[in-house]
Amino acid sequence: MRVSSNTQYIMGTYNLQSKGSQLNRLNEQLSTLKRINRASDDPVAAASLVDINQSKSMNTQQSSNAKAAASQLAITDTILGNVSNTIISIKTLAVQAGNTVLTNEDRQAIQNEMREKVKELVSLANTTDGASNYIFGGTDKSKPPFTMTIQATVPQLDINYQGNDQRQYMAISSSREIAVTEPGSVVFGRTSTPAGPAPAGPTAAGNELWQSLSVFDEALSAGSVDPNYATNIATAIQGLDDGLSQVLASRASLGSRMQETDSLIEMGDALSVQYASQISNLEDLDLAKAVSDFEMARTALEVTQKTFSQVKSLSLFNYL
Amino acid sequence: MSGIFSIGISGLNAARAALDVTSHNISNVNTDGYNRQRLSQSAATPQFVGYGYAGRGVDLYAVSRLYDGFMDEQLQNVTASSSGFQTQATALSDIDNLITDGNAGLSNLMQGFYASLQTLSQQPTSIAARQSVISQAESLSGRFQSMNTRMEEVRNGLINQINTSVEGVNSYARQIAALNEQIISLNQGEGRVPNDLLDQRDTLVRDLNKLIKTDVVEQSDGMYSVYIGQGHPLVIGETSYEMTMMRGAPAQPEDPEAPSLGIKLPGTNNTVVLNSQLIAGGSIAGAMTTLNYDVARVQADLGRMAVEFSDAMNRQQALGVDLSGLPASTPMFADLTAFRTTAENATTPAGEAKAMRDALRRFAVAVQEPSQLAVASGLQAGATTPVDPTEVPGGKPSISAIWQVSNLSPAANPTLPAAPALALNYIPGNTPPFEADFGGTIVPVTQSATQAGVYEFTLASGQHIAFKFEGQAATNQTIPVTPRTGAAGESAQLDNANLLEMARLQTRPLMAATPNSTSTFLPAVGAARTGSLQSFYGQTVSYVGSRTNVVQVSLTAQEAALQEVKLKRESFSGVNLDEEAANLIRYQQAYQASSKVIQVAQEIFQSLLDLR
Repeated sequence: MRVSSNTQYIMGTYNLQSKGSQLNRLNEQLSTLKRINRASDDPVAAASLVDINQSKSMNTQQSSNAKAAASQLAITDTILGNVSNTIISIKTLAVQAGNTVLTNEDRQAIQNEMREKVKELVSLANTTDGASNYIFGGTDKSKPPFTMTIQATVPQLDINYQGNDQRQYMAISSSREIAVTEPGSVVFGRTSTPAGPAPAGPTAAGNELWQSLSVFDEALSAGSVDPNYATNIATAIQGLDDGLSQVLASRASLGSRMQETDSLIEMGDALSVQYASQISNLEDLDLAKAVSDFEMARTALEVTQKTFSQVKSLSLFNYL
Repeated sequence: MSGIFSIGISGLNAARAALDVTSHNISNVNTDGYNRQRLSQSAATPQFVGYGYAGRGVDLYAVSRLYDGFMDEQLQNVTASSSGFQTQATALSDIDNLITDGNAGLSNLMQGFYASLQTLSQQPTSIAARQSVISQAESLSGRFQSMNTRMEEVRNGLINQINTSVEGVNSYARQIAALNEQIISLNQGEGRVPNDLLDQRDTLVRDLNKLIKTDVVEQSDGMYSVYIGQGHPLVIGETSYEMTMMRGAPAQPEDPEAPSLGIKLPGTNNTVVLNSQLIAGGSIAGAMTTLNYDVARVQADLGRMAVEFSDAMNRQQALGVDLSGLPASTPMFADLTAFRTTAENATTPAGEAKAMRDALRRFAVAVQEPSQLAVASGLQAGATTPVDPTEVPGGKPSISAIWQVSNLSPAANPTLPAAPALALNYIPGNTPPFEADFGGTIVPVTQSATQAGVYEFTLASGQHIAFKFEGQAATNQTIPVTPRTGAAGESAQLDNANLLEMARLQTRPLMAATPNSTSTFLPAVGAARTGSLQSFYGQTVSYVGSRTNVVQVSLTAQEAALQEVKLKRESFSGVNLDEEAANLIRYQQAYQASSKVIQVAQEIFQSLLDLR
């Protein structure tokens, strides 16, 4: 083939440019340690990366939600522990009050102690968290969930729920939202107004705790002259037991949710490792291959440069 | 005797002329588009001198160039397509860098926005957490804006490039017409043509092809006719036509900024519009392709993301109540739905792209006050009452959360009216144990397919309502459901049901795929929405990536082809200095030999004169 003087320059520049751009690309990959630096490097993997990054970010957020839920649930659990203890000590008082040899003064003393315990119970039910939100108010934070009045007329002890039945939820996985609050109506009941005829009567499902406290209080005020005294005390003890199991049922449900959050936090950690390795598989550079490619490209460029400079110095004019 | 002189002189002239041609070749070794030249010579017609025909020296008849028209045409074609791909590759790699970069792309900010929603769900009353949602929304809309600004830079850059190229085309066309005129007047016939002007004209055609692919026809008189866009004349003989870039109508009536090309008819004010699809190569075609398909598609995609995302958020926001318990008064984002209507009514891709571009420009956060975010549900459930009046009220089960799920466009998004009354009836033993009673009409309740523990139903008037419940009872119960109006006693600041529904939009399919078509960038109205915002963005990223990749691969191939053709042309027409150096010696020797002939003739004359 006939070769013109420009051939070697055209070929030389083209080869130098294409080898240079190859080297440049490898250099970029080596300095970012990524195989994909822009979508065109691998369009399909780039689109998958967008999706996986979203899953990873959602997983991180869900883990953080699970942790927040766990701490919120733990606060509620601690308070319900105190509530149980208080109910048990009121029940002890009720058992004491069942003793027929008690004098009116003794009953008065028991009533005073019992009313203090009830105040303690209501204040526990009105507990707020760090952000001054009522823990047992449903989703209502405008007012304390429970009102309590102690007065001389019947009903002497009046406790009522003024929150709602709704709960705050947090998303701890893409398909699961966990309730982080327990409405007071579910844990404690709505009202102390007995279901039966005043002043004291049978307790109704869901409201046993408050109603039995009211029944107990009325019984203590009426004293042993009331022919129903013993029955009422027994109703109160039974109601306190029912109320306690209602609180314990809420605690059990809290406990199972706390377990769920714990296992989800662990799973979230495992998943985040998984996502990181998926991302790494897609975009990370095979370092050994890249370094050896780089060496090869560098050698090729050097050789091209050397041959170009030698070929270009050949000319017949040098001998004329 | 005089024969020796004239033969010697003809040899001397021939050698000198050959030296001229050789030195012309040497001096033009680096001239772009130069074809090496050669002197054509032949032995002169002999003369009969009795004993036979005696030679009369050498005749020179032409200086011709070593030119292969087929090779030149190949070179022009490859130049046009390689320059077209070059323009596309440059613009696309800008978009490619913009859309993928983890720090400049949209992914991170979309994730940041949804993460702020989740954080707010942990503490729905926190003003700081609410403010963070607004700030994240502002960063997100800001990023959409800045991506659009970069896309606008690319778009305007391409339009400017087309405009400048059109001026270049006109200038080349005028020069080619002028050279046509010069060449025809200097043509001496019988192959005696001004070679260097022909070279210049071919070079101009090649430069013209860098801008726009042309078809060149050589007329019988040696003039070039140059056509573009399948038969529109640009140069005919000594006349050149003026090409213009127009904006908007008549070719692009729906986008006053969109460029189109035309050719002015000489002597009139009429302009013929060129179909840009028929321009097959050159940087103008490359810029047009990138502008009409890639830039427009990416802007339409980003615009649709902005429109659908803001519309979905606004629709859910409209169904909730704010921190003061009042139905949401402010949309979360500026309302962009009018641009969707404009785009849907547009009949050209440019019109669609313009509407979406305008939407992107106006994408902004509308809500100012953190308290205005509608975190809480617009619905509330009352206390559970037994259906049997002899039973004690206030029992179980309870509705722990109830909210309305927004309908996506084009469906209406009505809120629950105060009347007729809506109630949820609990019927133990049924699966699920609920039915909805809307003013006496019973609506069945189904379990959600995607969310654990969520039940849902849709009223005939379009409200799609979801709820969760806790507890169970042995007998039938009923629970009233009412819209929140801000009345005292409805307070539910810790309710985050509406916010959680907003957060679910992260994975809810909001986007219908962009049709794989060059005539529209919008899916049909009401087309099935199949992808979340993020996966739709992934598709856009993948589109840009593949397009850039394809164009870069084609560019590499075309550059290699250009290289091949250039080398082929060089091999045939290029100057080789070694060859010319040898020729220098050769013609120098011939010159010296012819000089010697004259010297011998002179000496013979001298000998004759000396015979006295």
